[in-house]
Amino acid sequence: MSGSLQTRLLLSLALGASTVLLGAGGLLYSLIRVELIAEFDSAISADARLIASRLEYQNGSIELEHGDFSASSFGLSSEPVLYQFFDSQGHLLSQSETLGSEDPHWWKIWHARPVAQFVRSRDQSRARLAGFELTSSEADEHEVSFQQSQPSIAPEKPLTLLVARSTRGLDRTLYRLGWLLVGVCGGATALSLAVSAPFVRSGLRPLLATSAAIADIDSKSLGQRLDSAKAPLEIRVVFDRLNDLLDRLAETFRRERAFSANVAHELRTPLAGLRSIIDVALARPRSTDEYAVALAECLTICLQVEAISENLLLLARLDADEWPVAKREVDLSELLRTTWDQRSHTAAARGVNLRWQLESNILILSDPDLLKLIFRNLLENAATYSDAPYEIVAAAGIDESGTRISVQNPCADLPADTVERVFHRFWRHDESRSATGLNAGLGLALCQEAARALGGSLLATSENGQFRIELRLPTCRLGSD
Amino acid sequence: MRVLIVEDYAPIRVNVAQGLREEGFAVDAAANGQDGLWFAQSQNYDVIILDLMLPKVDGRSILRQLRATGRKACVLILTARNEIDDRVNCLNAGADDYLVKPFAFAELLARVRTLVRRKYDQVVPLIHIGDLEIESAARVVRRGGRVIELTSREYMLLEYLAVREGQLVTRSEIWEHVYDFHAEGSSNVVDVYVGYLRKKLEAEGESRLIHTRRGQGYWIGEQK
Repeated sequence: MSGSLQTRLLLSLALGASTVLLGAGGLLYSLIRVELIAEFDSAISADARLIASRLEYQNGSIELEHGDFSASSFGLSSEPVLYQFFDSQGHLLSQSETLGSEDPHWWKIWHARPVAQFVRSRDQSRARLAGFELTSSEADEHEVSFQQSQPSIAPEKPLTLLVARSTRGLDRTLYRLGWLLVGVCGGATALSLAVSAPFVRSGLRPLLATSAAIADIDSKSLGQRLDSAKAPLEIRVVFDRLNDLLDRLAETFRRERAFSANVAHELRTPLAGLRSIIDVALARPRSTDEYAVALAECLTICLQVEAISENLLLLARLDADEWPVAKREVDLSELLRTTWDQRSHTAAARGVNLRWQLESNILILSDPDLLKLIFRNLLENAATYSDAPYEIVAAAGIDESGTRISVQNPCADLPADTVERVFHRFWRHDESRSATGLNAGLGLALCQEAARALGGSLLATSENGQFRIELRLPTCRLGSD
Repeated sequence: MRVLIVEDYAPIRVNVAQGLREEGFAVDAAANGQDGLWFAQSQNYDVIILDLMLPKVDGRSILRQLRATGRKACVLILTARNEIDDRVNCLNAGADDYLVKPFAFAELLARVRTLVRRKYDQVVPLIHIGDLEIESAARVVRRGGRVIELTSREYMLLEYLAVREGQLVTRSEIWEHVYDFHAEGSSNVVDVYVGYLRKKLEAEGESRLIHTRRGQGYWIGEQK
């Protein structure tokens, strides 16, 4: 159910009010109806008493004292009172002249259910029928005493007097009452809506203000925050969640902008190098050797840019989980040593040496390409950024929780609180953009994504002048139980 | 004129330095901020080409320190950052010009020359001293319509004296502005080159333009 909250609240109020009012109205109608019918029944009872008081029973027949009374004599309204006398066997003894010779079958109706009830009279209009037993015992509501002048009526032979009266007037009254109540309920509902509307609007004002404040927030104003202290209690949690979301969105936009700027920066520098080389080479006639040197420099830079773009593409694929992880049997020790061998000359030229701490027989099921990517970056970083005494320690082993591989190197000036940033894209400890290393600050970010793709994790620590990165894989030794 | 380039990315640093030297500038180059700051504070450069993102000491810090110590070298910022805020901040911090990477070497050269002219209050790249005419953009020297062929060092010396026409220029000033850090030092190399220059300028008996003030230095201008 969509639509404005104000409309929904007002409709709910209207529904609630109309339900209450209709319920109360219905109850009131029922109560009044019961009372009116009871009063009507009392009137019928009074008619019956009057009829019974004029009753004479002589020689086995019943006669009214004053002869045949027209019904209007008895009627408390303009409608005639209809009556029938029956003996105990159900034989009709007498009935009102208005009924004529017609038998409305009241005996059957009364005999089937001897309570006051609504019946159809001769003209099919509604009437109320009540029955009374006439005996010589004390008079009560349904027993009417005979006059003293008729002692010949034996008490064990009661008469039944059935009296019916048209309920036309009653029905009209009830009809009017019903519609009156409906009208009053409807009017009250409409009035309550009209009166409530400004209060509802006023009550919703904080929400409308919030809605306006949120509408003002766009990608250029992500610094805005909603003041949850001023919000109604019910939506305060919404404010807090929204503020959290805005914080994360602002951070995401900032990192996206930073990433785009970093990518542009990383590519601009080698492009500027290419341009400088070519511009200067072409500025004047040069020897073939000079051109060859310039072209070789250009090629080196092109390879660097190619490496950066490859890394960016790889990172994008890992981010999107589009790298198909192909697991095979991998000898970790062998892979580590092979990866180091490809870099050992460069490291040796810098005076860096490596100490191994490898368990034997580390065979696991994993993706060798991703592992190689991780090992290459870890070892290269360690060799490049190692401080004196330039000793790297590479360790690998398997325990209950899985496989762990770590590379550690001396690094004096990496504070422990900035260690987490080593995984940020394009982050370098030294903010210069010198082209040392081909990864442009993407190496460890790539390793982290690769570790994630392998179902593992990467942890960096910096303690006591040692920088350590550990790769944890939930992979057990092949052939173990 | 003497130029310092402080740029950690070797292809840019090496090739720009080479290109500027080939255009007649004395060029010193530093690969990190620390060395760059040392160079900048120890010499009077005409132009400093300064990268912002440098190892050890960043370009902004170098710029701030230079201006704080009253160094008058013109500073051209070289950077990959192209945001307006970055440019405005650098110019407000005291930079004289800003060039975004990648750039055309010809543009860099033109901007460096403009900064040099500005430093020596030259409005146009054409210097007239009597019947001597120096086109600094084309590096062409004429006297009385005669084109004079000069070596690179001779031209640099003549240009420096010419932008300071009428002013006494000491030997050390000539050394600072015409020779780079790696030039071989010799106490009379300036005198020797002044001699070479005079010979070429007066080859057809023209009047002397480069004058000596004994024990102090040289000045260029028409003798009154």
